[in-house]
Amino acid sequence: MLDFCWVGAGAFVTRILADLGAEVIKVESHSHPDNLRLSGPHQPGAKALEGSGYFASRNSSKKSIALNMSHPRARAIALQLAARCSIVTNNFRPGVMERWGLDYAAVSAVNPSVIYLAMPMQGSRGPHRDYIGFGSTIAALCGLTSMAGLSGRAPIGTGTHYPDHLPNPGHALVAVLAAVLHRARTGEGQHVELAQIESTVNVLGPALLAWSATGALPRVDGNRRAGAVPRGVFPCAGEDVWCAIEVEDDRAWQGLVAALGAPEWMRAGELAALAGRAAREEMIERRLAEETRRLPAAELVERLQAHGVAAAKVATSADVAADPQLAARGYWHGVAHAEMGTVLANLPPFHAVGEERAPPAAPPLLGEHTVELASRLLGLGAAECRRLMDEQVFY
Amino acid sequence: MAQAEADTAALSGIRVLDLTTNYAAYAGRLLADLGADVVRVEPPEGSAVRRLAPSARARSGECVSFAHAFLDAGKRSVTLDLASAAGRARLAQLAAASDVVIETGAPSAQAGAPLDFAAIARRNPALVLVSISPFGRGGPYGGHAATDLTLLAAGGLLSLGGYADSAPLAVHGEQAMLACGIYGAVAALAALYARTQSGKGCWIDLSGQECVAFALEDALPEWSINARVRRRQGETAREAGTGVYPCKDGHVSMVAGRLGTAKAFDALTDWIAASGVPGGAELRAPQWRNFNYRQSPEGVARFAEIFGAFCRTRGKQELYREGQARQIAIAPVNTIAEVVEDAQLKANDFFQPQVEELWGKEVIFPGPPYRLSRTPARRRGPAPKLGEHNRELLEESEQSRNPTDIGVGPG
Repeated sequence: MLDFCWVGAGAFVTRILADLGAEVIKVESHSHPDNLRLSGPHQPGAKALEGSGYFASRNSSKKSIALNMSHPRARAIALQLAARCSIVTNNFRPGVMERWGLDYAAVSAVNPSVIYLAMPMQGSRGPHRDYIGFGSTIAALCGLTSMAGLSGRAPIGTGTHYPDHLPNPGHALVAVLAAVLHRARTGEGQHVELAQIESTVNVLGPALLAWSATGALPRVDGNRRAGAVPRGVFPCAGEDVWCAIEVEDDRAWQGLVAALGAPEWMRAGELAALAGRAAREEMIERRLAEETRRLPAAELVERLQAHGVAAAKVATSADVAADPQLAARGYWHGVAHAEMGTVLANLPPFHAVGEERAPPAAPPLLGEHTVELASRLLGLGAAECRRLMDEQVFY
Repeated sequence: MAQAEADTAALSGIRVLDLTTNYAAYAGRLLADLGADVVRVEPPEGSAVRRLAPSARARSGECVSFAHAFLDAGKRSVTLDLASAAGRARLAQLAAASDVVIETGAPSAQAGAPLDFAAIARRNPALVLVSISPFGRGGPYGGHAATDLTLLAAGGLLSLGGYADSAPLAVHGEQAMLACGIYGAVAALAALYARTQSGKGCWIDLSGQECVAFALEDALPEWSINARVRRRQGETAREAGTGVYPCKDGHVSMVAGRLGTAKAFDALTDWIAASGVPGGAELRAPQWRNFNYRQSPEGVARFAEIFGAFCRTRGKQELYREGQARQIAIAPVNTIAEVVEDAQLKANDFFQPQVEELWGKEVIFPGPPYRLSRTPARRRGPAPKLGEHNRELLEESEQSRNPTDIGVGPG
């Protein structure tokens, strides 16, 4: 695969494809490195452009060719590479690949069965096609941000660039793999466009239907939701330690009561059924917090789970890195990296039962595979590579 | 006509049995849009998906689940009583004639999965079984009960949401379960592709916690490199120019200065300064070129003051238009009602009004999340009525169907 996906959503798409076994050739250069290489956190002591942990987390198992696309000769080389690849991807604004002579028309002319993924934020047509944004602004534009927070306070969404992390790379993977399957069955390639705003609105599909039918917007009220009381995040022993608890039905309520040693207030008959609890939601949340705050999170979760109540510690990044479940499943890997020492890399969220989960390979240094790829895919000898480096085509 | 349509679908001829019971039903929806024949297998009283929020009462008194309308669109429905031996035998028979089965039967996957993969694989070695569960199979939490909220917690995303002075707050809309659905479709497609090479199916073990842990942004490297635990910070900007800001009629979201947008920060300060807003000219002072200052509590607060004054007299659409004209990544914080009015989505005919039968009038569906030039995804129909296709499937099963006829072997 020839990969022009930088920064956010696109980099995750091609990373998962690399995890699934594709040879992903990331195109960037010292004149235009992936911006993520410049974003922290940086490993102290690492060379410039080679120490970003953020970059590392999205680029494991890829290869890198340093091809300076602002050099006129680079474009012919990129097109030659595209001719040898089965998938070509980018998440640039509309117009960039066209300017480089690498739009779908140009690539499919030399590689008719190519699958060509473009991920422009707003799509390639329409009045806002040239508008720019990041995951956080996409989340705002698409309605996600407005639906999280406390009533009367600023809307806050996930606190992250969420669309870049799950909905947009995930949807793009569905589209690309469907195209790969279609090609395996028919030999036909195709153009795939994922407009990031169109993708993101889909994960709010049910809310959109509900609003259009009823005129009602979702209630923005912290973690509460009709139909489950209590549903919330409760303090545990320690500083800023929390546990998410959701009582899905009346049986789970009985489980919660038993798990906490059946304190007097919880035994009240009017709390046994949802309607009674819904009428006393605030009181329940307040008093439950008094119970949970006495217990360490691990003990609380263990007790609630033993009684069939859905509960989990609100895992911090430190907790996730050390999570016993993720460890048991071989999700995280410490991968040796020439500049960073060891980097933490995860695997796709699924695997085939009975198959060994192969660890990821290190994220590439910029241009680490230039010579190898130029030789294998373009048939260039060492002298020719050297000349292209001197001319800053390979740069 | 039907033939012509089938020919342009990526997944024509692929049959999927959908046994999901939560928002992970989205996996089957995505596959149905791509042309797979997705058969929802439900107990006689109906799948739990038919009762998922958001929902409302129709005039008839019936409960209409908009989650079901969205997640199950274009699927067929067959009812089976899996408590009976006959029902289970029928399920095994259907699975033997299918390409993919998707289930969310866990957490008791070890003990009580609705299907015995080994037994089914003996009858149908090409079958792809996708088992979606909160924590995956095995491990210390393998049997844990979970909901969307607790999965967001276990995967770490919840720790990044909320105000600094509140409890962590979750994102709306069953995002963890939807992520399971998206990756369930990814896993199914990857396995179907592998099958074209090997002829063999497989059993996929998908973990919701592992899906959510993809959404932690820079929090993991912040921990592994700097031993810094990133915490929720709500409406407080991470840096002057990057965050959610109030304006005349709501809020805007902006990223100016970070991630290679240094020029945008200059454009922003020029825009504000030229407006004559109090304090605006101050933004041209050299300290605002300095990242450390922009990230300091003082810089963040002072910028919010000045930009707040600038935005107080400007609406979010105006800020969107004018900011984008200056190459600044700014966007309105829209409600769903405002998303439907978005000029770009409208211009590209993204929204699809459709009569929802139970509701008795039109509702608005989003268009597909992607546009494939040869094999477009499209909603193939409404969500099925309970057991709507019982007879149809019975008749079809009498004409035997061998899944290995389709989609296996190169070409």
